[in-house]
Amino acid sequence: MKFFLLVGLIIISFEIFSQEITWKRNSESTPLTELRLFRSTQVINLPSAETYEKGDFEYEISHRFIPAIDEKGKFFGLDGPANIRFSLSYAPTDRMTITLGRANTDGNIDFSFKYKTLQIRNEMFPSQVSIRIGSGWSTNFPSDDRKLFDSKNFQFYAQAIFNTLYERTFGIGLVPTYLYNSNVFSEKRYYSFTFGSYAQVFLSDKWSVMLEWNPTVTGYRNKFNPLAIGLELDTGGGHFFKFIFSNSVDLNTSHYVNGASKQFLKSSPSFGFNLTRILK
Amino acid sequence: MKVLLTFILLIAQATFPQEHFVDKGKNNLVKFISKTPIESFEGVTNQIDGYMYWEGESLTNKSQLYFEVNLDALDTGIGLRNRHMKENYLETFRYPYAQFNGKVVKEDAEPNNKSKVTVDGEMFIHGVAKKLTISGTIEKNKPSYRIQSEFTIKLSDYKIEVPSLMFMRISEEIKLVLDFFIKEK
Repeated sequence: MKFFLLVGLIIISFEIFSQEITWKRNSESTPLTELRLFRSTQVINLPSAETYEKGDFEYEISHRFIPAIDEKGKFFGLDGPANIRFSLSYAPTDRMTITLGRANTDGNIDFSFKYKTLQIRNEMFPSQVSIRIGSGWSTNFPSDDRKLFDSKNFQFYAQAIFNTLYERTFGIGLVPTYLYNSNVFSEKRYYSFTFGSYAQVFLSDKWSVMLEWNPTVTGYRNKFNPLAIGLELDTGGGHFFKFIFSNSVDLNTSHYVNGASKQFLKSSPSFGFNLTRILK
Repeated sequence: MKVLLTFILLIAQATFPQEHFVDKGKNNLVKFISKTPIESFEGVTNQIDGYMYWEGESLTNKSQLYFEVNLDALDTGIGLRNRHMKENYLETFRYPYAQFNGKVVKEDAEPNNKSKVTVDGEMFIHGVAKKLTISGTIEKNKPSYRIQSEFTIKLSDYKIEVPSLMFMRISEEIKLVLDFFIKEK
């Protein structure tokens, strides 16, 4: 009897103390990182839903050469004159970016705030939505009647940005935009509602092509809807070179959204570029 | 009978299986270092997880270990460089973890509760598995153990293309530095 008890105890002891591996990945303890679809925070003139990572500063300088690429004696428009904008962006959080910029068109100072509100981790169509609000302040107004801080010199806009990416290659964006005081030259307050869209095809880890269109649905518009095509070179580390052909030569959102003054093909597009760099 | 029971329990204790999990409350560190004549940079994370198992006092006895690092959590100090590295080179949307599965094959006791250990196993990065032998030290301060190791991997072994364009200079050989803690589960 004692013998069986002894054997039983030995077996039970080893059963108690022996075990299989119990470790399992605790996905809750590993925070989900931010979804990243487009590589840059801006496609051509319209924003992508991307934001920078917390603590990033980014500097941008962009040019739009006013002469068309086929204008004689202007060396494809590069002799200028040109619209120029430079800006500085900062990301207080992974989902928030604030930007302060200045363009030489009407001495425009712009401020914007972008916040990523929704991320959908769908396997086939990962998507995200951001909102962006901003303002433009025209400080070089040509009329003597206007004071610097006249409310008519200020424009305000709001954008919803929807992005999706198929197979890490084909990115699509929709950007409905509401712009208040579309025409700062007018004494009347106009508004514009546009429904911008773009597509970006990532050909390799560095090169991609872009198509962007921003038709006005209702409200004030300059003569034509802005259309642009571009080539993007992503050299890594947040450095982007974008080469652009467009019928719009405006750079800041409040000017760009209200339309272009010429047609894309009939008048020949103008050349432009955006350069961005992370300051770290 | 009491003596016998005590004896049995002592034997069982002596072969007590010990499964230890990564202690996430400690300052764990996983660091990679890329050095080229043009640019050097580091990436760090504390997102290491996994277990180490052995029976008895010897770390080699029925040894099993598995550790993984969440590559999405690597931080090089520049947000867009992080993104570029993860999306274009590590492809973390497909291969979010660097994983090592192996066992302790050699343990040499050293002063101050330390042991120099050799681990044989398989490293899995970027969808490619490669056999690897790694040396390191384990400092035993029960119930906590500190694991430290430094070794080098080649990016081409894991089919990671080395970018060489303009601002992105990454060395073909990457030094990995591990310093983390495990504790009884």
